[in-house]
Amino acid sequence: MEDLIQVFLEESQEILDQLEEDLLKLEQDQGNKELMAAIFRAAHTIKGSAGLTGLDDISSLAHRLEDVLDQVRSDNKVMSRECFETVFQTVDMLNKMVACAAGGEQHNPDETTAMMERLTFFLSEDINPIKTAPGQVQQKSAGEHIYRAKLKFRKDFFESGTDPLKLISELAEKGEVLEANTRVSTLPPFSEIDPYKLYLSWTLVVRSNLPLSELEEIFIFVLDDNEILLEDITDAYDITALSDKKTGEIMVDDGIIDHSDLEENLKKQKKIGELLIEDHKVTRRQVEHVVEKQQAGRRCEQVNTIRVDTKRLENVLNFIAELVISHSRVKELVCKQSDVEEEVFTAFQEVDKIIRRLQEEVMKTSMVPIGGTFTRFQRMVRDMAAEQGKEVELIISGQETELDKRVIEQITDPLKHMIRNSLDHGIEMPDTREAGGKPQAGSIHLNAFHQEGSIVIEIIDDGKGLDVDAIYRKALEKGLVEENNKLSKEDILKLIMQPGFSTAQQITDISGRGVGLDVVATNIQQLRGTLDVDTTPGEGTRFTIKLPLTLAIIDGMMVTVGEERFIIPLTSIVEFIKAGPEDIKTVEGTGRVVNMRNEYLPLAALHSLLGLPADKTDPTEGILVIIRDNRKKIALLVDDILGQEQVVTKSLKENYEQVEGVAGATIMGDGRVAIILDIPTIIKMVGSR
Amino acid sequence: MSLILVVDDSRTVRMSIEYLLKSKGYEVCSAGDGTEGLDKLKNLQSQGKKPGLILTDINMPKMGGLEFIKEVKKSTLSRFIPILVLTTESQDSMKMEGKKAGAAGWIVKPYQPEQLIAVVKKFV
Repeated sequence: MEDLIQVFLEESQEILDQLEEDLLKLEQDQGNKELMAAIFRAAHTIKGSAGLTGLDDISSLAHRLEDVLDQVRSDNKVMSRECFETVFQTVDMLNKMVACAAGGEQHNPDETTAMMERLTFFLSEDINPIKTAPGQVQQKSAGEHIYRAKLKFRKDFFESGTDPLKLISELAEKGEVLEANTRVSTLPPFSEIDPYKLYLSWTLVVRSNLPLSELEEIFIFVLDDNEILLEDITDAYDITALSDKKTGEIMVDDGIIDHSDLEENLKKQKKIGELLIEDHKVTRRQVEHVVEKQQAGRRCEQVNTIRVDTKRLENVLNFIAELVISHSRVKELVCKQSDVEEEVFTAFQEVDKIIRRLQEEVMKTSMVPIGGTFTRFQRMVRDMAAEQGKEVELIISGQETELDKRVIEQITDPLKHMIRNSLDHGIEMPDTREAGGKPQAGSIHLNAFHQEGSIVIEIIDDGKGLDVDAIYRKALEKGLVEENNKLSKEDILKLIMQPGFSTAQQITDISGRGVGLDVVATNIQQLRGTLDVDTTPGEGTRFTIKLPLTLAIIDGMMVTVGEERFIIPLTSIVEFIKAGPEDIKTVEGTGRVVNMRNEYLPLAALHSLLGLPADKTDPTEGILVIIRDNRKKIALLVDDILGQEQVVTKSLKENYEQVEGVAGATIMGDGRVAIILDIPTIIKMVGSR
Repeated sequence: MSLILVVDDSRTVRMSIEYLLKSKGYEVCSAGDGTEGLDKLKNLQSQGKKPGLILTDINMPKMGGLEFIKEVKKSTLSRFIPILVLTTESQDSMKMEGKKAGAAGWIVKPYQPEQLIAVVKKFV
C-alpha cells in the first residue's frame, strides 16, 4: 500500500499543477465549458483517489471544492472574484496538504476546516451529509427465516453479461436451500432455441438467519428490470399443509409450471371410465349407465352444468359470427331484386333476429365473471402495503360483470401493474394522509361494468392525485413535448403513458420491478381497448380501461390497396383526410410528412410497407387514414375506403404463420379474404424505417 | 483465474483496484480512458484473451464511460462481457444511466475493499 500513496502523491501533484493552469485560463475565458469540465474532473479525481488512499482530509476538502465547481458548472454561472480567490487558495492548500503527506507530516486540521467553511459560503444550498455506504448499517434480525425467491429474468438477460447461475449460487451461500425448481416448460422446441436468450425461470426456497434485505442485496443490479420476487414465507411454509393440496397446485406454487400449463394438461386428463374401457375391464355401456345414475343424483341437488372445451365454444362462436355475415350478404342480394315480396323480406328479418340472439347466447357461454381476477389482487395489495408501511384497502365492485375468458386472461397482468402503480405512486403514507385530513387507510377501488357493448374497468385510488404541471414539466425535460405546444389537461395526462416517462422520484422496490404505463397501454391497445386517466389533485386518480366484450369480432373499416382488401380496427382510427400537394412535405432522413391542421404526421403508404402494387401511389390521390396507438399518430395512404364492417377474426398464426403488421384475417361475405392490420406494429414499422 | 479490465483516468484508482484484485488472484489490465480501453480490448482479442469483467469510470477525458460501454456492447466479440460502472455518491443517477447504456451494475466510490470484491465475485 505504500506504493499506492506514492502514486497518489505524484498524480495529485500533476493534477493540481494542471488545475492551477486551467483555473488561470478560465479566469480569462469564463464560460469555456471544456475548461470547466477539466477543472471539475480534476477536483473529482483528487477527491476519489484521496479517499482510496485513506487521506480523508484531502478528500473532504476536494469534495467541497467539487461541490462549488459543480454548482458553477450546472448553473452556467460566472464565478465572482471572491470565488476565484477562494478556489485558488483551496488549490494552494491542497498542494500544501499533499506536500505534508509526502513528508509524513500532519497538516493542521483547523486550517482545512476553515477553508471548507469559506467554500461553503459559495454554495447556495446546504450540502447533503455524506451517506453511510450500504452494507455498513445493517439491522440484525434474530431467528430463522424461510424465504421464497421467484426469479424470472428478461429473455435478453445475457446481454448484460450477468450469469443467473452466479446469482443463484450466491443466494445458496446465504443459507440452506430447501427447494430449487426450474421452470422448463417455457423452453421452445430445440430447433427454435436462440442460445443467446434466457428461457428458464427459477423458484428457490431458502432457510436463512439473515434479514430479507440482505438477500435482496444479491439482486440489487437486476431488481428493477426483471421479475424478482423475494418473500418471507416463514409462517406460510408448512410442509404438512401440502397434504391438502393437489400435485398440480403445488407445482404452480413452486414455480415449476404456471396456471395455463396446469389447465392445459388437466384438459388432457382422461376420466376413470375411459381408462377402464381401454383396459377392457368394463364396457362403454356399463360406464354410461353409472354416469347416468350419478348425473341423475346430481341433478337433484345441483344446478345443471357441463364442462366444455373452450376451443369448441370458440369454434361455435366463430361459425355463428360467419353465419351472421353470410346471412346479411344473402339478404342484401335478395333485397336487390326489384320484385322482392313483402313476405320474403319479413322472413329474412325473422332469421336475422334469431341469428343475433343465437350469437349473443353463444357468446355468453365463453364469458366468465371478472370477480375471480379481482379477488386475486387482495393478497397482493395487502403484502405490498405492508412492505411499504402503507395502509390500503382494496374495494371491489361489479365482480359479476362478465367478459370473454381470453380477454380476462390477457388483462390480468396489465391490471396488476396498474394496481401496483396506484399503490406505489398514488396512496400516501398514513401520517401524510392524516395531515391532509384523510383517513389513514387509503383505498383502491376496482370496479367493472358494461357500457355500450364494451366492458369498462376502473381503478380508482384516493391518493395524492397526479400533478399535471409536474407531468408537463417532466415531459418538456424529457423532450416528449414541444415548448410552445398548448396542451389540454387530458393531453398532458396522456403523456404518462408515453415510453420513457416515469414520475417516481426513485425507483422503488416494487414499481421498479413492474413495467411502465406505456407497456400497459400497449397491452390494452392490443386487446383493442383504450386507457384513460383522470385526476383531482389531493383527491385521487381514476384509470379507466375500456375493452371489447370479445376478441372474436372486430368493428373495422375496410380499405383497399390494389386488388387487396384490408381491415383497420375502428379503435385505432382517428380520422380520414384527403391531402393537397401543399400539405405533403419531404423531410430529409425521415421521409414524407403530412400537415394536418399544423400538426406534422409521418406519412407511410400501406402498399410500400407490404410490398404490393397499388392504384394510387400519389398521396394526394389516395386517402390518408390517420391511425394512432398510445404514443403517436401517423398517416397511412390507401387507395380507397369501402366502409365499416363487423368481421370475425381468424388467426393467421394458427393457419399460416405470424406476419409482421398483420393481426389476422377474415372471410368476407363473398368468400374473399381480407387482412386485419395490426396497427401498433404498423406504426412501429413506420417508426423504424 | 479470470481477467478483469479496469478503465479509469485516475492512476491512483487504477492502481488501488489493480492491487486489490491481484491480491485476490485475479489477472488485471487497465486503461486510462474509453479509447484506450477499446484498444486494450482489441489487443487482448488478438492474443486470444477476453476479460471476464470490465470496471469503468464514467467521467474521463477523450471517451467517457457511457460511450465506452456502448462501444463494447456493439461488438459481437465483447457484448456479453459484464460491465460495472464506478460511480460516486454524488452521481447517483449514473447507476441507471450506466444500466441503460448496457452495464450490469455499479460500484460506488469510495468503497470498502470487501464490498468491491463481493460485487466482482457476482460476475467472475
